[in-house]
Amino acid sequence: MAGGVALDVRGVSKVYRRGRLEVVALREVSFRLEAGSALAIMGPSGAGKTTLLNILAGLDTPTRGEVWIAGERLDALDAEAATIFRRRHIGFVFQFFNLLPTLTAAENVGLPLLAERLSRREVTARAHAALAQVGLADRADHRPDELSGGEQQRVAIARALVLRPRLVLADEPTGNLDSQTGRQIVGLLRALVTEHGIALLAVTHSEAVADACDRVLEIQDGAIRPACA
Amino acid sequence: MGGWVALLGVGGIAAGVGLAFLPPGVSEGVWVAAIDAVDAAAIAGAAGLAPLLVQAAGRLARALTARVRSVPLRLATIQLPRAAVHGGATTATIAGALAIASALAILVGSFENACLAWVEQHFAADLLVGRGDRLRLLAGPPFGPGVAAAVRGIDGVAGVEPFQVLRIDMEGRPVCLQGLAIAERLARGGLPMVEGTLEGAAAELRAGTGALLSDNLAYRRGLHVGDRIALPSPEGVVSLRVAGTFVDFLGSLDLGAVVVADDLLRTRWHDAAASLLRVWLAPGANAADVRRRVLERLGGGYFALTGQDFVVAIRTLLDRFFRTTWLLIVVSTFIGVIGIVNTQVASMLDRARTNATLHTIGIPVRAIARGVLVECALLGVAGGLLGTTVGIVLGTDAIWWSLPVLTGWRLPVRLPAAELLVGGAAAALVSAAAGWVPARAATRIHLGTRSVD
Repeated sequence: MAGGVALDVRGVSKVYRRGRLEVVALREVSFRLEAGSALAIMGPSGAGKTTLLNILAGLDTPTRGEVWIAGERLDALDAEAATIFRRRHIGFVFQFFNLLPTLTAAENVGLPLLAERLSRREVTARAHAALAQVGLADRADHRPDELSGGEQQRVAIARALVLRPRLVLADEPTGNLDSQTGRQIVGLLRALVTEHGIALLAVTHSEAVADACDRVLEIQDGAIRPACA
Repeated sequence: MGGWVALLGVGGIAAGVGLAFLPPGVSEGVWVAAIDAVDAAAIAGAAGLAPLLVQAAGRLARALTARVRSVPLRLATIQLPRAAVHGGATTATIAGALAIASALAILVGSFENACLAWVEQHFAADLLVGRGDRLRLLAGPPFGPGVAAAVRGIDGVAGVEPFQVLRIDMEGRPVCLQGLAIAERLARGGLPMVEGTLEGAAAELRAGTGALLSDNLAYRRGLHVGDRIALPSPEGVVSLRVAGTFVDFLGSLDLGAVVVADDLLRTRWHDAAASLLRVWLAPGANAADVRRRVLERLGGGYFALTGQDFVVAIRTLLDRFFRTTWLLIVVSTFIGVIGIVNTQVASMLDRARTNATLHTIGIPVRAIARGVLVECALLGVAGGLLGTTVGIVLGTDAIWWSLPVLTGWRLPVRLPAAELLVGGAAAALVSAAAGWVPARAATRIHLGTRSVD
């Protein structure tokens, strides 16, 4: 897969104002992430991880600084354009999977494709192919409550990858799984990222997830720095 | 549980239809209880059927729109069959409101239809003259026989038919006793008979040995041609043979009417007055001119309406009479709208995480909101269909069973197809419009933090 910078975060700060009170959530955060590589961001609760994820996803805007993904400046896009950009270039893996409980695995995976106005036949075909990549071809018609935690997270990974994004943001991807299943999920994510040349940014408390990444950054009081070895 | 309720609904609706094929004969109380039970079962069952209907509507919409690539439509048709409980609650609310509205519309429409048809036949005249400033639903103030004689003498008048109504007791219950000018009535179109003919009954009526009964009175008392009735009069009890039955609404309401010859009314009840005159014009006479002359001759305190004006006046009276009913229809529709907003907003709060996830994975907020609107419109269509169906059953039951048991009136059912269609379509539109509130609620969720927290 082609290399290059998938994510370039330049001096991002985020300040929330509540009346006269200013809360600094992020302070001059800068880092780069190459395509095909994985980065773990660790830090205690309240350190600014969620704020950083929201900004990297285009769900929130920085007070200062720039976010470049695949050569495009995300923070300069309006909400509608950011949503479309997110759908096409960013995949999400959540701690609690965030699958729609009323839909089957294939329908969940196909959701981003629906918004691309593909035909129903093509949506189904691509969703099944994505499920096959994560080893769930035979579970396509099962609903989330009929799947184990590990299987649900695999479905979420398939959904994140179905539109071949440049960047995958994972929020505690193993946080709701037992350690053995967590290792399997990390292994799967890592393999798919490498295989498809996708950049992976995982926010995690898990040493196992961090160990599987190429690089680890620590966030503390909104500031980021390389983690101690 | 849902299956049982649905079964109850199907059973209730089927029983409602089945009532039509059962002969009357049991007591009034049993009938009323049975009808109430069937109606309750139909309404409860409709509520139970709602989730199933929502699932079916969602699947059908999905199949019908297979080639449509609209994101809101796709979201709606995916969500709808799977959110059957919330959707079912909305649909049941719409269906309940529309069922009540439809049943009332059928009831009112059928009554108006039957009543106006009767008015047009029974009160067909070129002019109608009475005392007072306006037409009364029941008999107006009486006036003496001199009035009829005066009108007869007016240029352009070919005939005058006095009509009088007295209220008397018949076997302990009030009835309206009407005096009929037999010859005039026979010459001017007769009566809308149910049993017997006016021609056949005329001899007995003229002889003072026979009477006609309104259909509602005959139905409630179980009387037929050949039976005898006893009426109290100042001259003692008058025993009369039932010579026929006829349709009657306005002069008797639900009391029921007994018709005797006007001569008998004069001799046995000492009443030669009239409460209304039917006036027939000579060929070529101008109704407006004759009306003016009648009013000039009678002086103040009388009204004269043309046949057309009379029908308009009756319509006005009926509209006034049913204004409360239409208000009920509006209120039930309003309750339906509130229900839609309420259940759909609750649904949106329940689906906050789902909507947040959809937005995070790249579905625009606007598409999510529009999906909610489409969902609400589809629920409106499902509720409209269900409500109209149940409303038709309830309305038909009311006309075929409740009304005869309670009033004796046997009306032909008139399905106001246009109104029902408009009602169903309005339910869908109102539902979609009501979806605006939950759709806004869906867009106001703090999508980012909800999805990644």
